[in-house]
Amino acid sequence: MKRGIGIGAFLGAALALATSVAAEDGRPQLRAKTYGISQDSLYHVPVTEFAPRDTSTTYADYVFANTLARTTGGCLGQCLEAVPRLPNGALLTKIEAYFCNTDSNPTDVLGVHLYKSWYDGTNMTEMGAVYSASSNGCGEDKVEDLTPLNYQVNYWDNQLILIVETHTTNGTQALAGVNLYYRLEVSPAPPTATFNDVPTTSPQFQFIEALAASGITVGCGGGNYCPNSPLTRGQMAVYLAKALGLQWP
Amino acid sequence: MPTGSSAVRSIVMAILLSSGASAILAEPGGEASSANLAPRFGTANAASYEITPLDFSPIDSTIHYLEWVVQGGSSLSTSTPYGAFYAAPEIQSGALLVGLNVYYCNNNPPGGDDFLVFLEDLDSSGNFLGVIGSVTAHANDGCTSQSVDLTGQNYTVNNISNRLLVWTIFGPNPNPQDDLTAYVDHVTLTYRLQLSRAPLTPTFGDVPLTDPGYQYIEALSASGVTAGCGGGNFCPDQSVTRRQMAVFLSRALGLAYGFGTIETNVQVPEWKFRAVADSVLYEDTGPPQLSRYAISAPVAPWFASAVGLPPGAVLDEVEFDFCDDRPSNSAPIYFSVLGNGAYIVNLQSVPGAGCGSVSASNVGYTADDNKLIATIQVGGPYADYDSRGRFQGARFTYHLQVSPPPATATFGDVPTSDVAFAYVEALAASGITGGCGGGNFCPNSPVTRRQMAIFLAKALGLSFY
Repeated sequence: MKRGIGIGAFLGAALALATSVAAEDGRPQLRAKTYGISQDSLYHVPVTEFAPRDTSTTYADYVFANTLARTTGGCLGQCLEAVPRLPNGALLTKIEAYFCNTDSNPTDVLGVHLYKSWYDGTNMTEMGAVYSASSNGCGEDKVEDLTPLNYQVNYWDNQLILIVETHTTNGTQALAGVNLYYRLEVSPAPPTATFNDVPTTSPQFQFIEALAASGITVGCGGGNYCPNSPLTRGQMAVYLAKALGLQWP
Repeated sequence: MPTGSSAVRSIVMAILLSSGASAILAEPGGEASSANLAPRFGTANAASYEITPLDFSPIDSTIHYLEWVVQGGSSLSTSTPYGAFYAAPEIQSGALLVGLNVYYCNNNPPGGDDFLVFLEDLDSSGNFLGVIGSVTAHANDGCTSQSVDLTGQNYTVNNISNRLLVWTIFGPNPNPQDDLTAYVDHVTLTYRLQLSRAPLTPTFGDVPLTDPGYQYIEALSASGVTAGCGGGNFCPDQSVTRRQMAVFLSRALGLAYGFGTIETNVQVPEWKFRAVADSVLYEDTGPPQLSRYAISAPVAPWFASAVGLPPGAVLDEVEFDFCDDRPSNSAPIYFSVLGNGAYIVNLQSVPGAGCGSVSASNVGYTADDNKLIATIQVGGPYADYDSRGRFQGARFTYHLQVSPPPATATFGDVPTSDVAFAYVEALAASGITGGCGGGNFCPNSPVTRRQMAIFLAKALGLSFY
């Protein structure tokens, strides 16, 4: 159903009351978007973020079987582009795309590519891709493991680009969204130590260096960190407020 | 592509042009006071996420749109019957939605077109589940705002299983003169970080369900911030050493870049810069150097992008990358950044100088809830609109800071003269600590591991779902 034609029906669906999310059973998972290093976080790139690469490329958002998806026309090949904004330093682990592919020709590929380039737009390099190759309808999702790349997001040197590749202009291929999965990491330890009393052989060397490099601590004076001193509540306030850049209203 | 009423567009574009062209030198930015800064951390205060006109995407490329991003405001309007636009807000998982606020103008005469703004819940596959809140912008409302209280919905953001979508739809004759009769100025979603329920079975033998720190310690454990003190225990009453603090914080934040007070950055590549009206036609070059350029426009073509920095971040440097191979007597390409409607950066190219970059350093602007607007305008009206004048995007470098302290102290034992005064106040104002009782903070007491867990989980809004 194209939104512009069936607007009445769409509004009816839209005005239905929000359904409550079913209660979860068992142990809840903690998958906060931004914190901790034990599991993947998810960055969702909605179809509304995918923009035509030029004004000769047309696009339309459809509701296929109640699924919001974006399709293109007037363009073959790489037609729509989006920019994911992941945390600097995050390790890329997975790309996942949701497709709405009702095209009857199994050779009409619909793909999503992940590229990086230098921030001046040069040195474009493909990092991964997922494809929907046949008429599988809505709800198909494809995943590619990105962990072999061992790529850490680094917006000082590179930018990330998602590009949709289509091979038909008849409006039967649409993208319903892309997920990028990543994992936060603590920076690798530097080769030399900042503090006299935290040598490179300390088991906590990497973590203490990360705090120093982030401007969160300057040590306890005299070139030392005093790792075994108890932390007072006052010191903790300084750590946390500096670490988070706390701004209060 | 039809261009609609080009006369009105030309007037608007001319205003855009004169604003950009006349403000070449940087003006001092209107620095926001700390009282206006929103929190990103802690559970005490509601935070705000802004959706600007530039964040709305027309639902298909037949929809006319016209945006106004110059000094004094922004707008999103259309002359297309039933023209609709989508935007996807980015809010942290676990946050509780508090309000939907729509700022708009509807100067249609009584009985004319209303327009609607919806906040909608979708599942992870993009299926519509239902409306969380909506606003009707009635004809003849003038310029005003409406707010919808969402607390009754008890909607917790979950970016794993659901998506949020804000969309607006205009009526059969929304802007009869193809002008700014009816438009969306901006939309905000307010939310609050929260700690949700904890698991039913304890992870650590010495932290049972009845422990006052249970919820927080479980959250830290599930985040991979702590594995306990060995033997299946957490040792909640042991004091934290400075060594342990470093491990807690580094692992909680995944310290690599982006936290702490050092500089970090955000990229705004060329394809995030959208033409401010559909009458501006553009193309992208593709490799070997990804660039965007205008090919046709009623008057000097204008591109813009909305850039959100963390509230309270200080903008240090803005760099624009471009190539200007046009004749040296062409008008420059103008690069600007607006913060709260005021110009904070104005730069320009040297026509004929080829590929390079321009940057403004020590900008010193403190970001607030509202996104910055970056604009790129290929100078006119005598310029040639083709690939000789093209741009690759912008990069924003910023650092976080801690709020200046208030004039009076919250805790009796942390007076304004205390070296940690500003930091303790920031923690208190963010709801991360309520002190140690009796109006004190006990700054010299050792931190126990239980207290550490509570501090961190509250600070980050670590949330189970």
